[in-house]
Amino acid sequence: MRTVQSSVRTSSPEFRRRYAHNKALAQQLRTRQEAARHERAPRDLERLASQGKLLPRQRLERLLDPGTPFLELSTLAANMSYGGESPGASCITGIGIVCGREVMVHADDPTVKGGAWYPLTIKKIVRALDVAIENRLPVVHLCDSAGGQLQLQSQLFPDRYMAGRIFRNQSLLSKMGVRQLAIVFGHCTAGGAYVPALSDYNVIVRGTGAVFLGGPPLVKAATGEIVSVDELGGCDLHTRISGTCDYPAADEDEALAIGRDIVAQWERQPKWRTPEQSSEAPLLDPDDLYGVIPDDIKQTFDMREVIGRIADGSRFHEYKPAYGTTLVCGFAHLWGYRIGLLANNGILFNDSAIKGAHFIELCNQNNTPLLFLQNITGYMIGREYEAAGITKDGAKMIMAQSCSHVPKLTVMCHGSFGAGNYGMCGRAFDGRLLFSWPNHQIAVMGGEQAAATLVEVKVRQLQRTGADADPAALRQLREATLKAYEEQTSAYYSTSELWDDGILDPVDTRNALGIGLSAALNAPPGVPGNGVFRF
Amino acid sequence: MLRRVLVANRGEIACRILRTLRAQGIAGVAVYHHEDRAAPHVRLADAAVPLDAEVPTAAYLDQAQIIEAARHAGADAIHPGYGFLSENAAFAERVANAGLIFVGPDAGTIRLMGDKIRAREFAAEQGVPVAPGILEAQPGQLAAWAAGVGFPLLIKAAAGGGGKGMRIVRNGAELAESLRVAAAEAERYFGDGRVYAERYIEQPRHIEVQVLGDGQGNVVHLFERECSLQRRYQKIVEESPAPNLSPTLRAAICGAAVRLAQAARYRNAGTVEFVLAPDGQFYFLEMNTRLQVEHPVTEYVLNVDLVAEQLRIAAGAGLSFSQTDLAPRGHAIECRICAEEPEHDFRPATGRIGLLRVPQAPNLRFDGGISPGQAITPAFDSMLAKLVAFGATRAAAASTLQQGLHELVLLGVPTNIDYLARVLRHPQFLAGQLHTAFLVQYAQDLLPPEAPEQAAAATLAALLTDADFRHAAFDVPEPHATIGAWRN
Amino acid sequence: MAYRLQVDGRELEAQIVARRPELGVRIGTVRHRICAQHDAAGEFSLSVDGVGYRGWRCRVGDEVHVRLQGRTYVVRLMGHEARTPGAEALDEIRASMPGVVVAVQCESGQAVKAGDKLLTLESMKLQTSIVALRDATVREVHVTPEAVFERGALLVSLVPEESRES
Repeated sequence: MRTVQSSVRTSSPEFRRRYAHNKALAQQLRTRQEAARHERAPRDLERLASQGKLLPRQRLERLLDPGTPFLELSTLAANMSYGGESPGASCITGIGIVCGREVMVHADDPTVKGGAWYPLTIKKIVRALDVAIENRLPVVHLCDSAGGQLQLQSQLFPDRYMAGRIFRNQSLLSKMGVRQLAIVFGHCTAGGAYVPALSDYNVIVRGTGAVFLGGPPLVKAATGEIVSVDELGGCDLHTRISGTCDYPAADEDEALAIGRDIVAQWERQPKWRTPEQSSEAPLLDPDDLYGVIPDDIKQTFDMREVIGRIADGSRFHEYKPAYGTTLVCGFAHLWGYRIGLLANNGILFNDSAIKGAHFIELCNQNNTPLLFLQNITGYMIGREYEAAGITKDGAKMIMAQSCSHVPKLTVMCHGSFGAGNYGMCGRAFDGRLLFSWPNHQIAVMGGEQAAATLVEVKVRQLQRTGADADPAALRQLREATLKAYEEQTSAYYSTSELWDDGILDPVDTRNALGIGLSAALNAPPGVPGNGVFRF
Repeated sequence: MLRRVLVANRGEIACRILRTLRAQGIAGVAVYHHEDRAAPHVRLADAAVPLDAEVPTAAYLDQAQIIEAARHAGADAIHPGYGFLSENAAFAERVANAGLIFVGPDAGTIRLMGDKIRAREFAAEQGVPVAPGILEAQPGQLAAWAAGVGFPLLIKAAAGGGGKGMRIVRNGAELAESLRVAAAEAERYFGDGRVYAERYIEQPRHIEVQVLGDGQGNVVHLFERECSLQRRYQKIVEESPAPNLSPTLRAAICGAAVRLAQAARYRNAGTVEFVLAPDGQFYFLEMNTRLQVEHPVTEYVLNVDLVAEQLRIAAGAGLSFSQTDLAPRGHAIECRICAEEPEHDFRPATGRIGLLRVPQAPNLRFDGGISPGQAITPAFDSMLAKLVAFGATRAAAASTLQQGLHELVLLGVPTNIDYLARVLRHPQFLAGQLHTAFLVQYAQDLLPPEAPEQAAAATLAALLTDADFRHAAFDVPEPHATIGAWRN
Repeated sequence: MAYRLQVDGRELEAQIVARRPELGVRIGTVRHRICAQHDAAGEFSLSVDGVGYRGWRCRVGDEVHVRLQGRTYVVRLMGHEARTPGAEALDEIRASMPGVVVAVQCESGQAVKAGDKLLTLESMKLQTSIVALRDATVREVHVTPEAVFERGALLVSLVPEESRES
């Protein structure tokens, strides 16, 4: 392995302009995250305090081992939905350490509409459990929710990946032997009651915790029975009589202490891979990343500058350096684990596509996890390239990537447009985790290109019917398209819709990937084998 | 020579006596209550006899059982140690009546010296100075006498001793009430409500003289011990010789002790205790007709084994030396290690001996009756052991003792070890400026200094014994342990 | 969660704050760096903030007695006990199965300590004692000797000694 040589000139005007731009974006990210995590109406905070409850993030901090990291996923989920009513999609998910074990934490946020589940809340919880399943991560649920948002029921109840998927995932985790603990701090109503019921262990707080399929209002409406929350599904009923809950706790602190003690009883999972060598911080300064990332989506940069600021000791073994140069491939160590990297230095051509496919196969042969660093505007198009089989070559890369049995991680470093997203392990391809940078944009094609294409299509259509193209209408079409694309291609939109697992400040990438990779290596790899490559 | 001796005691003194018995080739028999079944004195003996009693201390006070045990074990003598039955005249009589030898004085002497009023009278008759006092007082007489002698006064129980049952009265207004309370207490604790009053000497020194008599009127003294450092009227640091004592005064005090013991035709070991006033006057306090806790310091400076002497005398062989044979050299200091919390007014503590490491050094002696794992309960006296040091000079002895306390490891129950070390370092102690209110006077100085770094290190050493803490500290995987407290 | 400790009677909290390159522990408000070496048989050596300490320690129940530099410290590890009374405590004692009252050992207004017997019941030829689970005052005894009761019947009501923290 050789140390990446940086050719960045930190005093150049271009670097300084880019640095200021990206630093501001990172600052904006932190501000928006802080708001989503902590800004709540005083009324909601007071209500919790009057109930003797801790805030969800206080529960989280007391659950986790002190002095350990917490990789929070999708902090800004739902930031562009529901009129901003549901910061963080009313829940917190992430990977942390409890009693020395890696766990996935899911915590309801009762400071947002009583913790009611919005459609994106469910999507976020399902995603967290999918991550738990794929990475064999034990799960700790901190339950405190008013139940589903009834007005949005059609978006959160009936379909395959809606609410039921949470309980299906919980059952599967249990079948796989991956432990789950639920701590009931507040209400677990209707479907939510299944969260503690399907957890292998659960704890319930006396006085505030309650588990019932139907709450008192529903019960009264259905059968006329009048019963209090506690009598219907409180701590003593469930720990002494029904046996639905395992451990009673006098208060939230005791519940968390009991929960930690339960996790301390769980056997430690053997990892598929352990670090090959001790880790080493990169030699190149990650802070430079702010000056490396362009301030214009159409511009590229040398991905080796990113690799050199993520990899241990900034050391990188480049594979096939002279061929397919728009795709940088090679091996490095991340926190002591060997990984294979694929990173875009331009658009994908025939040679870069098949080089990528070949390298992916080598990593599978070598049992080396894959890391995709995306900055792709697409594959080369045009007659020459079609004749040379660019579609086939792109297909081979997608086939190799899709059929990989090693874990895959993806970071959207800049643009992710069109089919390039696919080959480079976009969301659809079951990467264990996928993160974006604040400058990231994603769409089937660039906004300008899309607007131009739509206008072109419209003009041809009008020509066929013999009508005249109205310039004003065309201009309106163009601007409407541009506006929609601008809104929907931003990283904030993407993270709002949970198309990624969170936006990262670029300097946090190494830590996030280290935690993600460590989690990924709890699961044994899949079955090796590829489909048919169209040669 | 005695062939087989039963030791009617427990703890460190039982161990100490059994050690001399072994060295002398005499069989030792121990007695023990069920709670003491794993105690060291039981293991040190050649034979051990269990005693049955509901309360542990009652076992060692059960005269009938003890005598029966001695008979049954074929012992020809009983050594009572100190405390328990050692100054019980009735017991001494019963032992003799049972045809066994009581290692100590005869019952009559015990009875005489046990009655503090009679003892005081007897001493006065021998020309031994006694503190101005009044005996068998009627309240009216006492008030008049007190007015004449002056305050402060010390009211004592006639049947008391060893620092128990005493009250200080500082003015006339308190007198009647104090008398009433003292009498009631005396009745309750000693079964004898008689009290007497003495002039209370402020800042006195407590000087006592070890004597040995053969019962035929031959008595030697083994010089004096200073036992002024006391808390709750109990000695905790003793030494021999007494510092800053003129040869004349020494001779006078020791001479007075011998006079008293000779007049009583004293047999076996005893200690005559005096109060030495700042003006150089000394007064008889009481005589203890038994071996004392602090006897090791005398043994060090005279190179004698007092228990061996006791056994000799009990066997009828008389004294093994004359007064001119005894020439003290060097200096010895002892401190009593007790299960208590000095910072909480010396309240007795309980616990379990978790760890015991006794320093081995020349001129250092550890007399203990404890073993690792032993439970320390309120059932018995709180003294666990004695640490004694010898040196050519007082400063050398103090230094060796300090070092010994520093290296002594006795963990599992709070003790006064650190407190004793601070006492031994105190400049006034090192200057020999001792009196019975020393520990009260310098209480502030003797408080433990604040040592926050040390306390932090101790806290961390403690935390590291906890399995949960160790897991939390050392079993967090990588990369999380290196990343530390990071949030994205 | 923090470790609650009592050091020579003073209450403190300790928290692990870092593990690399050395173990970092905050005690109260002060942060310390530790390099520990576990020795055997009660002896230990430890470096705290660059200063080396050798000493002895032994654990008796929840107390650790530590001797270093000629001083002995007693550190009580309080664990993560709930500060409020245990989860078991109930102010209303109900019968878990039908039976008959054999004896009543308490009365209204009486102060009872945890472990004090309140009632003796007989069910299925087996006698059981109902004891107070924590210090409390008896508010009311709802049964008398020889009374027959059903499952769930209220037997004794108590008023707890300490008020619970919310």
